[in-house]
Amino acid sequence: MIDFFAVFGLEPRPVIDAGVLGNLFASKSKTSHPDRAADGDFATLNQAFNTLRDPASRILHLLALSGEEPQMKAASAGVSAWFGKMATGLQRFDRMFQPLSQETSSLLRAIKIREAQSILADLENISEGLTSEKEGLLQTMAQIDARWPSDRAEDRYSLAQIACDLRFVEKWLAQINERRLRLASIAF
Amino acid sequence: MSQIVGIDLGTTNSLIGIMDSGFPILLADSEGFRLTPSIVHFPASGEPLVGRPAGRMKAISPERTVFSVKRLMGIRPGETGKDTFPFRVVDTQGKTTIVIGDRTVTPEEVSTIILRKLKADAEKSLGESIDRAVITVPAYFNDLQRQATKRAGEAAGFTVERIINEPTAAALAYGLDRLKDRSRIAVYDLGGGTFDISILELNEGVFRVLSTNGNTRLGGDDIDRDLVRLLEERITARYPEIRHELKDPLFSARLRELAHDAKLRLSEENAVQIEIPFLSGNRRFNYLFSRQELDAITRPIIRRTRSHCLRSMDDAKVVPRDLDEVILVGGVTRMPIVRQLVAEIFQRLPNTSQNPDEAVAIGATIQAGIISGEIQSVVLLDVTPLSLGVETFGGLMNVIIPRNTTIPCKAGEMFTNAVAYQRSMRIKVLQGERELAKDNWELGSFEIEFAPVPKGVARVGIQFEIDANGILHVLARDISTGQQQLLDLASAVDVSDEAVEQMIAESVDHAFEDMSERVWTETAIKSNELLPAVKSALTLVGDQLTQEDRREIETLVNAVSEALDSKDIQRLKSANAALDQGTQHLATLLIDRAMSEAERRRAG
Ligand SMILES: Nc1ncnc2c1ncn2[C@@H]1O[C@H](COP(=O)(O)OP(=O)(O)OP(=O)(O)O)[C@@H](O)[C@H]1O
Ligand SMILES: [Mg+2]
Repeated sequence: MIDFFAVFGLEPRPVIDAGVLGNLFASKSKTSHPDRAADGDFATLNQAFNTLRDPASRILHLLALSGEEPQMKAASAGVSAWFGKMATGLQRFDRMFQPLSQETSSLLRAIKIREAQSILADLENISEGLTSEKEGLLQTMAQIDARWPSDRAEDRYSLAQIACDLRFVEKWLAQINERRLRLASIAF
Repeated sequence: MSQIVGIDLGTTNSLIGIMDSGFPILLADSEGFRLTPSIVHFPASGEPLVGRPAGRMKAISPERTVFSVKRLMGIRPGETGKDTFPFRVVDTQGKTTIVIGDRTVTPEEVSTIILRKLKADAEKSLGESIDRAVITVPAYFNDLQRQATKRAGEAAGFTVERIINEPTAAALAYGLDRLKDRSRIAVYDLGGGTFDISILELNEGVFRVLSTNGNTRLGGDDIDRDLVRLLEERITARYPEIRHELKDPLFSARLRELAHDAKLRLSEENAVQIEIPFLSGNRRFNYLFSRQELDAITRPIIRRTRSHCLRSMDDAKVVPRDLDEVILVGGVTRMPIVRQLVAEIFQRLPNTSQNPDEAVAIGATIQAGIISGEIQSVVLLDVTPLSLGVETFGGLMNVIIPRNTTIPCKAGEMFTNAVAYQRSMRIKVLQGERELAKDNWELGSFEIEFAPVPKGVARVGIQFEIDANGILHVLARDISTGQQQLLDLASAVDVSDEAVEQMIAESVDHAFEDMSERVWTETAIKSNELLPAVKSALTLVGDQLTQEDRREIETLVNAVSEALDSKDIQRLKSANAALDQGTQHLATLLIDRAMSEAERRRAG
């Protein structure tokens, strides 16, 4: 297994500064991109960059490096609590949006857009909640990072849980965002 | 080794350039122009004409003069959409082909003919032979369209050193020297046939595409088509008796030319006089065509670019104020209405310092200079525009490489046997953003072989690689030997014949449904939805209407109610349409109100 931290000359740890990583990727690209070196392994550098810049994949890689293969678990209770609200909101929105996107009468469109917008407002509230949930997760991650390297089993366990929670939160945020984009694309 | 040329293979115009003492220059064709029209004329006998000489044949011999062929590249039958061409486009064995007299050519072959001319003319003017090229494609081209372009280049006698995305090339041409480190730009490229939006960031000499989005079938051609339709309507309104003449290919070709000229002039002037001297009899058609009318046709087409821009910003995680420049590329961006709508989308005035026709070719030439080593100061990192995945059980798309991943890239996927002692499994490879596999592009499929073992025990690793051209390679890894083997993707066409037959069968079934009954019900549903909607809109924003407007709407409402009782379909349809039309202002008021309410909510 390739150590993606080592690809950039970094110590394996939970938190990496995005700016530092971006600059390292830029400078290493200059020597390994196929335009510069026929034998450079840019695809691996690229994979390393994509793994390290996303907190969840970074954690999973970090744990995997030390021989742990965290099983994808369920989201924690705090994060799961959002699911029901979010799913209902999405369903309401989609039921509204489907006929709206095919509506040809401007008046009916306008009325439906208003309704869709108020459903979206509920979704945006959920989105804010999820965002602060995510910030909380990243903070806990930073706390664990502060005492890194850590051999404590509970730290590794929480990291695995954080990775899993982040995946869910991000997926849901993306789903809400998708609705926001759909409405913004037709309402103007 | 010979030099590398940069080629912009455009829907409307193609260009070729070369590095000359460290600077990109564009070469004129044998007619003396840097822009070579992407048009090929096939005479009844003899060699095809290409470029300007072919363009002159467009209105004389429309059935034998092929243009905008890029819209057909890598396109499967049934995907040509609303496009209509004066030449015959048909499906033969699941492939889109063009019929000219008794011969057929593929879109790829037409592209090859254009590329051959560019090559020959460049060789003549340089006095040396050239056999290496960088060729541009719309950023939103999928794998099949890229491969078709690459093959066209190879058939023209080039080693295709790179397929590069048009907006990325334009960004290179804009110049790194003009950008400070850490700046971010958007490139809005609306050409004759395709639309692309890309967002890029410059960081320590590395130019990285953050996101790209677009539509490979949206461009100036669509404006031309709608404009021709409008002129046809105006002509038939005046001379209904010559309706049939409009279908004549020669007539259409000339009308198309007239429309196109008027469109170009309206980018500078406020109104142009359209005269059609070629109607039969002593009929004359003179029409003062205003920019406003053109804008009304253009606006809905340009609005379709909006959602792509929003998505692209969203994927790049930027908002308009994070952008340092919005650069306009493509001939259509000369239109004032386009500049205005782009300014609205990005909330800033776009940068028009680039020559919108030449930027892409100059960028392709710079990329050629990067590959040859002549330019050392920059590395360009592009992305794959579409998510790549495989079809899973249940017909869903499982994404393996998400859209906007930097290329070249690779990703592995493990496949296992779903049933005990299963010997093989066919995997469909897809590209696109939709959840259901069938809504995405099918690139092809490959077969995995398993050892005869219990369920879930067999494991075969497949590696998906997208190269710097944005072209996919699939490799199977033999776990025991560690060796990799390149897999051939069976073309999707061979597989999907059955599906096409099925679709045809279904559409025939539908034809037998009782049409009139259904149409009445649908129309009545529409009325019953409209009437209460008008009522509630009037209570919400009715106070902003004039007395007159209100009375007018009430009359239209009554007309719909009466038509409902009459059971007359035509009457109800037109009453609905009139009410739709008459309540547009009301709709605008409602939207304005909804927008300001949303604003207020956000401001909290
Ligand atoms: N002054 C102008 N006003 C309006 N439209 C124009 C003007 N000049 C060119 N166009 C339109 O721009 C289109 C051609 O632009 P361009 O040469 O950039 O396209 P292309 O590169 O061939 O196409 P693509 O990039 O889509 O493959 C045509 O539709 C043409 O009618
Ligand atoms: Mg172009």
